[in-house]
Amino acid sequence: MEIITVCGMGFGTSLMLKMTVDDILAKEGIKAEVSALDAGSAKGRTADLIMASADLESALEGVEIDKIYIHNLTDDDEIEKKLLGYLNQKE
Amino acid sequence: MEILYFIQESGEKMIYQALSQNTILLNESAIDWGEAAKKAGGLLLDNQSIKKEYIADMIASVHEFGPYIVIAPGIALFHARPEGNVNEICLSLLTLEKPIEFGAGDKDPVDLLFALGAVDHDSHLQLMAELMKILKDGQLVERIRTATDVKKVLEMIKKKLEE
Repeated sequence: MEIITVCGMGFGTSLMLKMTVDDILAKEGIKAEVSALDAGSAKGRTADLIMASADLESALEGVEIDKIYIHNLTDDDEIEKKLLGYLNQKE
Repeated sequence: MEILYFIQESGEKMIYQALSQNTILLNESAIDWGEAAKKAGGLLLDNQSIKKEYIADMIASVHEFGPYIVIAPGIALFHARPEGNVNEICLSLLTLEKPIEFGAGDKDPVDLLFALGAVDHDSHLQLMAELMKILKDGQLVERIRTATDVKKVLEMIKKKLEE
């Protein structure tokens, strides 16, 4: 499974999100490759899932990959609930 | 570009090198987020960590991508592409007496702001991990928000990272 975390520039909030997502996946024993990317690069990529700040919704419009939008990037519970909810539904 | 995920568990914390008496301003005033960006960025400029163009780039990033730099309710992280204007990995911390609006919906208003300078895609990973550890502690964030003594803020951060 390949997940990309996205932000405007690819090394700020996307990196924060990647760290949290990596922790959650490790805790749950789920294998996935997580990369942090800027919104422009994400548009040309293939992946199973995009995770980004909710404020980037319009910047990612038209990208045909499942997306999870996060409201509060410091809230582990929100990120975990949304990510595991998505993965359970996919199974 | 892929990221090599590696955080040094031992050794000096990167955030101690970044945050100091010179890079923290508490209980300041700013009329809007642009002025706040200039103040937070100004600390890095005075410290010779960035060139002045970087401050304009941080402001332009908000215009380009919207208020997504408001990473959590009341907290903003200014940053931009380095473009050769960042001399070293750096971070400043600014708190405001009166919170300001970013147009970030219910994450507004903001009174705790950081300016981050990165030199590449991932060498500031450890600094970000340390910053996240601080920001995920709601009680600590609240104490930083209301603090007026820079020395105390530095002590609180140190204590948290040594937990």
